[in-house]
Amino acid sequence: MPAVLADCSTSKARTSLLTLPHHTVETPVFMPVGTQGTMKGILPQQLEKLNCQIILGNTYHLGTRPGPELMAKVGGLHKFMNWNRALLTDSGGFQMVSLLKLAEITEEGVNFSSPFDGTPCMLTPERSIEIQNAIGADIIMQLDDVVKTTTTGPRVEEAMQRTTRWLDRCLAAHRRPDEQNIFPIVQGGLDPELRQQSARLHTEREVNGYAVGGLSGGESKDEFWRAVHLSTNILPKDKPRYLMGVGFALDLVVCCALGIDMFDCVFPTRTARFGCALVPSGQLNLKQKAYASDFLPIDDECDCSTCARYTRAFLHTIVTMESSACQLLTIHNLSYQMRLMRGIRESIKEDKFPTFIQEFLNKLYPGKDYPKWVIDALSAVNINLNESQ
Amino acid sequence: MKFSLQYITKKGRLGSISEIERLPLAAFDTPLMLFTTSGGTVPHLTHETLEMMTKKSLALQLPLASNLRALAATRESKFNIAEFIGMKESLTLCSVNDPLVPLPGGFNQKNSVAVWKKEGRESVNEVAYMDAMESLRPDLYQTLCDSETDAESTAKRLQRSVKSTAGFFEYCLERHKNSKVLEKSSILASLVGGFCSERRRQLTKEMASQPVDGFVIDGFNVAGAKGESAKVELVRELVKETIADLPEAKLRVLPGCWSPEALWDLVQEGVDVFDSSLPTAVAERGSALTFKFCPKTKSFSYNFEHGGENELKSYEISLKDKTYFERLEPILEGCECVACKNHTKAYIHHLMVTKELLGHVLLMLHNLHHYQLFFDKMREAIREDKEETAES
Repeated sequence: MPAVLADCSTSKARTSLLTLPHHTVETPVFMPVGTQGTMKGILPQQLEKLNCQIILGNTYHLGTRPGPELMAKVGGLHKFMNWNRALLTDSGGFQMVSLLKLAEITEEGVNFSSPFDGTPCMLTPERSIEIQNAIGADIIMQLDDVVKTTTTGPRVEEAMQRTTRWLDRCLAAHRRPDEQNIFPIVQGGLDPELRQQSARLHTEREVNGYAVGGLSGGESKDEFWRAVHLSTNILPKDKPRYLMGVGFALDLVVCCALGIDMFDCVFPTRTARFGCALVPSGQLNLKQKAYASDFLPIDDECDCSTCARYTRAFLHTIVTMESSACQLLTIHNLSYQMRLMRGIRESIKEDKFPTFIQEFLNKLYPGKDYPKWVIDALSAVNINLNESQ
Repeated sequence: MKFSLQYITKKGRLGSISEIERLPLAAFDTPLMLFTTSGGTVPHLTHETLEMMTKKSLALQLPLASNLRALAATRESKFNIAEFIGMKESLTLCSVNDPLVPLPGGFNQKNSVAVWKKEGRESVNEVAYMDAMESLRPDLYQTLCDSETDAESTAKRLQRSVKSTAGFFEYCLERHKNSKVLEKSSILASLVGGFCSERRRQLTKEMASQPVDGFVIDGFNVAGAKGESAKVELVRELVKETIADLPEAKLRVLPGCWSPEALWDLVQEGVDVFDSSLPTAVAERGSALTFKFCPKTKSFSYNFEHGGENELKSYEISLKDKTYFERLEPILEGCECVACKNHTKAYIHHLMVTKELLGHVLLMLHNLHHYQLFFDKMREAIREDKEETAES
């Protein structure tokens, strides 16, 4: 049970302490994704220095290599990668459906051909939990029947209902309930009724948190925020809400206002590899010639080890050419995300979150041309922006 | 820069590089390992991770090919190359060739040298070269040289390379003397001549009395794999002859991807400075150094636990090998590096198999640490040698 430190008196934002077996995490929190048991060239010590408190591992990847038997032998992913803070694993379902061409969903589970030798395999709720039990993360996700947000018709309801049935199978198969928390995943596409139903069904189960799934691609921003808003209205206030796959700074800020506590996204680490650095005004693509003689650090208000020493001009000469560039930008981008979340938490504690949001948006949209969805979403939680009109 | 000799034996000598204008408090013990860089970075590492490996000041080797990217920025700004690459506390030595990248041969012209950047080949003549040195302002640099020679070079090629190199030297030295911005930099004369004793002798004799701070024994073209499998007996003979003709008091630099045993042989010939191309090359292929050198017996011992599909040298283990899948011990028992203190062979093997960046980071941290220790032990071995010929 999280300890709520403060509620925003205007919006639905709140800041809490989430006590997990390996670490106590401050929420709202952004969880960087360390897919294969590693964070793109960064040492665990460096992640701790950046104040990363919880990171993600992918069950599909780890379940394939090195596989659950070795994981169990070693004593779990914490020991394997020598990360002593919190871990969360996804179920493997999403990866499978998005990575594999021939994944077929049946009541039993997800049917697919092994990408290594083509043999038919099946990922069932039971098997997903078994692998996640071996990996040993503090929070584990149920296997859900996930559909694209653009899908309409009876398939959406079928997926929503099956997700609940699979949740029950996951809960039944779970062998380590005292050390690992299963989170159910609210589905239902963009249909408010189905989402409500899904959330209600999940709240009838004994769990310590909830994930809001199926909302990170394809849908319009307007549909997106409404679905998040709806979900957080129904989900219990006294348990954390995890919005899967969301990580752009703007989305993070707005969704905190809508009452989300946890996020994950590959974006900051992935974009670093392409030479992009995250800054309050958006992004810098350091490959651009404009930076060849720019001797400022990426962000002169950033206290990360990259900004302490390296200029944009130097980074321009190494991005996408030298391996170290990836590390340097990843460190900066993670630092940016961590500082953003800390700023959100601190401002909620001081009950100044609306001011924080306004200042954040001022930097991102100096011309005050805020996207309509942002204006609508914030006004739905009583935050009215200073607009130019 | 001041190079002072502290102990000379028949089989190697100890010295110290100090009084670098930019780094007045730093001192670098020789025989010294330079950290080979690419684009101003030690491959896969950053200042933060280097600091986890060692708190000592680093000496960096900066090959010309990847320095060229820094020219525009250093020329315009007040930053010298050390500052530009974010390593202002480190000593910088600009080299012509990259000890990891073999020269394909056939591309040098009469008045210019082919430089192989990642982005493609560029031709650099003596004027452009000195312009570059004046932009970069390194602590030490070698004169431009034609190094496209090896054991198979024709007489004509050898002659051409020596002639060009001598010509480049004259120009470089003249410009160095007249250059205000290079006042604080030390110039090293480049010696070439492939594997031809005569040619080397000829050039060395010309250069030996020149007013330079030291010599770079170049032109063997022993980069990358060529270096590791070089016939060191031949090289050793030629280095011995060269050194016999050089003033004792001046620095001797010998770049190249030498095997550990070859390197020890060359240390014993009296070479002072080498580079880290070997540990880097070993890490790039997914391997870790596991050899041991005993300063007392001056002998090497190896960890013959490898076997498997990959072709390996005696001084390494390949973490890509399936045999490490479940091995829960560190790369090397007793090793105090970041990789060995925190991670297992099984994890590093996993990182190799999944092609994750952290794998190379850990291997570099281990290999560079291991090689620095090797240099410590070689210096200890020299110190233990009672057959001194002189003591400063």
